[in-house]
Amino acid sequence: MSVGIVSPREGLIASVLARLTPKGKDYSGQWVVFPERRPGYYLRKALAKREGSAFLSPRIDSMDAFVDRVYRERLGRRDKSIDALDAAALLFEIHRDAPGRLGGGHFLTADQFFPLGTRLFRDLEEMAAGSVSGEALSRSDGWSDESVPEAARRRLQSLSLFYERFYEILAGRGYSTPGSRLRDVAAALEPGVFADIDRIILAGFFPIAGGEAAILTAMAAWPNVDLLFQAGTGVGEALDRIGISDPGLIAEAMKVEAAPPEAVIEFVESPDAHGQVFALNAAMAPDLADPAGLDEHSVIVLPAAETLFPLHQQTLAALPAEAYNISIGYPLARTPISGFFDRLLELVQSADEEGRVYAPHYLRFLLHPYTKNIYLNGRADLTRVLIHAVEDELIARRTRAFWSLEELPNDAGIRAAVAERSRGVESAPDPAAFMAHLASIDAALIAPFRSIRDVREFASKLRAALTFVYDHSTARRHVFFHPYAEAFMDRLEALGRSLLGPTVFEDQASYFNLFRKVIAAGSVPFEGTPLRGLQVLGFWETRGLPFRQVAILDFNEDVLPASQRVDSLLPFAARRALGLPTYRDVERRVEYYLDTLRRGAERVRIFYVKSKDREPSRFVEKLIWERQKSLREPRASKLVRKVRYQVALQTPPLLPAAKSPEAASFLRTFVYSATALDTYLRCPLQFHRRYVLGLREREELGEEMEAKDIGSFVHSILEEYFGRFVGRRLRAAALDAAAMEALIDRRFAESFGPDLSGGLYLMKRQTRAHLLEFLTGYQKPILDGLEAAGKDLRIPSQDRICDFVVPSPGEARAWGPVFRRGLSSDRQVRPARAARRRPFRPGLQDFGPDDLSRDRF
Amino acid sequence: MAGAALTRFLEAVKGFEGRGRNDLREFLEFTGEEGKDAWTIDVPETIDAVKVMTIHKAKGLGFPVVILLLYGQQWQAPDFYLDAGEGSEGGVDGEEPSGVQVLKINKGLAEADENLKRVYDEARRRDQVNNLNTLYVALTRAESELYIVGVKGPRGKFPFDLLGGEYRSSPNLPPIRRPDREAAGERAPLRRLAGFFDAAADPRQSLNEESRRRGEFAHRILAEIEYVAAGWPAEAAAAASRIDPRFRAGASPEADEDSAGLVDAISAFFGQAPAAGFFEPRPGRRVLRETTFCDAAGRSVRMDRVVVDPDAVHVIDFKTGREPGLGDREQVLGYIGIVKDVFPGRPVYGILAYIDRAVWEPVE
Repeated sequence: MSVGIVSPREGLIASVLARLTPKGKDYSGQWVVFPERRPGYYLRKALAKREGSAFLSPRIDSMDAFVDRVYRERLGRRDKSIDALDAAALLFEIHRDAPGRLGGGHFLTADQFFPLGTRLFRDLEEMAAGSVSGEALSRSDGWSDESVPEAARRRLQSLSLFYERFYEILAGRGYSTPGSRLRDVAAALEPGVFADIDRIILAGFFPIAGGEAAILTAMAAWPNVDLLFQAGTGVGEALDRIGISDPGLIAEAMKVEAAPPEAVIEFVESPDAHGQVFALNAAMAPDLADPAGLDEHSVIVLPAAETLFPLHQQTLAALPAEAYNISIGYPLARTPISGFFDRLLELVQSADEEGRVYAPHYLRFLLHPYTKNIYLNGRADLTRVLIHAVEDELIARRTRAFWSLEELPNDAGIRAAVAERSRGVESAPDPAAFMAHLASIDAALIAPFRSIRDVREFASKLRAALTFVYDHSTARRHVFFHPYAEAFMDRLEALGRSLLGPTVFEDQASYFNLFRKVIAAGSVPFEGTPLRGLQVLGFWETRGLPFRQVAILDFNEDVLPASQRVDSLLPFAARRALGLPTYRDVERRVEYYLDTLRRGAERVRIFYVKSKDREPSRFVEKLIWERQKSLREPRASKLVRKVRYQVALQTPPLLPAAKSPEAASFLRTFVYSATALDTYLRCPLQFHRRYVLGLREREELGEEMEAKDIGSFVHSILEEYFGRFVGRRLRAAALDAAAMEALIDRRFAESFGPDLSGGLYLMKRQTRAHLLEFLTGYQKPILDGLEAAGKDLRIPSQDRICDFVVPSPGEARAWGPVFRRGLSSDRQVRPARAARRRPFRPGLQDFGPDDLSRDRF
Repeated sequence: MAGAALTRFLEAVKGFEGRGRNDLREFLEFTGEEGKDAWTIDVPETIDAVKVMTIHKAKGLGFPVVILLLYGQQWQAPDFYLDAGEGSEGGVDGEEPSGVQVLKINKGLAEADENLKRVYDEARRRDQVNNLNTLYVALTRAESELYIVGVKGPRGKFPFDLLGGEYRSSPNLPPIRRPDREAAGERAPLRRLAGFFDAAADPRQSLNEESRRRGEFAHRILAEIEYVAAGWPAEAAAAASRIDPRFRAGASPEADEDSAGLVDAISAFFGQAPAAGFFEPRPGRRVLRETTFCDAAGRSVRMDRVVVDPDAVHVIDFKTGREPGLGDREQVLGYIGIVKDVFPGRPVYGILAYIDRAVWEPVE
């Protein structure tokens, strides 16, 4: 055995390189294991440089790959490898049959259980990898000195049941997991397993409690094994953890650790992510101007994947593709494919009992860029024409909320709208072809999800939908669509094949929930190969790599270290007692790798966001403090450069809008609605833009009815109700509340379907309550009073314009000496004096004649 | 350089994209309704202007001069009261949570019932404590001068009842030292690269999911076979059975039926000369399967099968699919160059083995 402490400046790769001895150009007798895959690319590049020719590569693995390879190739174990999806299914099986279920009455379906199952699996895997015994777990009542709360103790009892049952089932059914493989490999390791290997080098690890440490401990004593560690914060303790306590070695580690890092270090504080990127651009300006000079010894570290795209758009996209590598896992849920499926499943889920889909969701799905750019005759523009015609028509018929997929492509109104929209479009097909295209989109993407047999079929349908979009739309021309699509296909394929595959849900929504949770746990693996140029890496991907120039973005608390810490069902005390890594261990590891990264570099630029909800990482604070001490600078702010934007706080004064003759002429004949008056009172400029200039937002088909839609809808009910009284005497006895209720029921059912939910349900209740109150509490007393006084009330018509005049007191203002406008009235009743006009305006305050003050105009 | 508004806009886009959205119309909705905060631009700390903020925002901050506006407050009874009771605990421990009660209480009801009174009084006390805490924060932000402007209505007594009599300003105020501009730190230079850049999309016309998986499965089967002893059909079937089901040919179990077709195709193709000869054991022969070689630049390539004999080396590359690839020959020629470096002095031959087309194509 040889254990070496490597100075980060010297570099791990160089140190490994020096230990590799080939037979000619053949390194296949050497086996190198790093914590990650990426150092392997650096090592091969270094070997090529040394050889000056091609060569047969040594085996180079990450620790996970090493374990798998030993398990299969060396131990000959050929069982089926299962992942978190399968594990969630197995654990759910155990959960269902368990006497005292975790969570009591919760987590009763597989989709509800899935997030718990994946957390549980992580814990079980850690315990398996760390070879924790079931007895140790169930002996939790023996930890009297540990502050484990009672509830957590009971949870541990449940965990011990899961732990034992789960790995029993695995063994019984011929399955293995990463944790079980690590445990088995650690137990079976002996030099004979590697008889054909000349040398094994394990390099760059920072052992904390758990399975990895078990491997290192087991192999540390072998004669043909080298263990190489980089000097850095806490490495002495880490060595101790795997039983290496050579005083000379520890002293060497301490010596490097005590020496001040040589790197120039800069701190940049920014109010947001883009500020960091712009500051990075400025700092790297010479490199960005000469991309050929960028090499793999420069790195931009992204501990938060969310900054990848700002960086890509604002920095990397300016470089040729061969000038950089991206190696990071990007969350699937952040990709636009996830958004597309959200829209699709939202639509499917909106279907009522008759299978009719909710119009706003249908439209949202059609308007998604992937859907509206599906090719028709090889052209995406034609589909956009079609879909905007559908939009026009559905908005025009907005009170109709539910449509069946069969009637939409056969609707005469949509067909007419398509004909209208496509008129003049070059080489447009006839409306029938457009409508057939709409039907084909429905058939390919929506209809398959109306019935789902089981999870396997569901996953297969999702894959088919994605393949359809890939093959038939412009989506594949979007940047990164291909890797996103591949990652989705892999994830969905894994879901379909997993032990969850045969699961049948009663409720369709459960499939969709499961999908969302499965996607939330997945990521797109940007591999970043072949190795070239500037490196853009996640934090953990930097381990063991030699960088001269380092820039770390988002160096914030909750990012480094991550806020989730160890997302475990096991409390801290239990983890410690069981010998599992705690959040403190994880933080030590973060600190160690940060330290080695800094010690290896010539320049380190640290960027962090400081805003109302983000703070710099504790490690940044520590680094600043160290810097303050070394420079004897009491003010931390002197060491931090800040991103500041130009902000003009002065609001320019609102200039009066001079009226053109056309505007004045328009206003003279303009008929004011209550809404127009309201708009003017709120903001004259808005009134000018909306009514005089005629600018208005495009109407949308929203999920919630807008105030004006509610108003129109209610008005139409009142119109129908009072329509039968027009020209006749209106008597109090004729105001029939039951007829009004029946009318409301009928109109809602016609427009929104029989089963209302959410906002529509509440709206119906509100409408019923208000209209009945209007009828019985307001109209009826008036009629009673009139009848008592021997007077009649008649409705001559339901919609009429009346004029009124407001005289001006001499002084001419912008609006002229006489204000003469028309007001549209909901209905006219006689005698007018007996019943003051009261517009029915839900959601809008009444206003009286006083509000029409001339001065306010 | 970037102004605050452009950066704010880019941040809004980032937040929107982070939800997996890429629809312009939805972006307008998002920023118009859900994301009104997206347009909030924080005024830089160092700007030379009076800062206007709520007492809550001022927590932890200090200023040379503070002008504090206080409005008389009175107890505003909440719309409803939450009562969690005592000792309730729920969650994942197998016990049902006792729940939270939502109560609608007024003073009269509180007087009539001891439990309701407890809830009512508790809420009121909490409100008083909060008010006092807030007032404490407000009164302790000033470093040199504090001006309190009070707006006292007929009913709202707090905090004037607490502050007591009238306050007058001190006649001899010391001059206020302006904050040290340098202490704010140096400004970081910023650079926004001109223009927007088009990143090239992947030119592939199809995901080719099935054929990709089929190819991968074929390679895994062949990687399992060093030499064929028991005859090709048996060896190929046994090799296929050893492969983890995750890597089977089809993207679904239904499509696994294709595995049989692939095993048959492999057996038929490799069972005949000249392919069969490269799966036979021979003296001095060494077979490298799925082995990583590196070129002189350190780029790694994984070669499907390299048969190293004492007198020659053969590099065999397996291909599936009905059509030959455009770069197949160049790929194998590259391999030959690499292998020549590794085994100098021995002739190296390349072979393209098209399994589905049953074509054995030497490459020279």
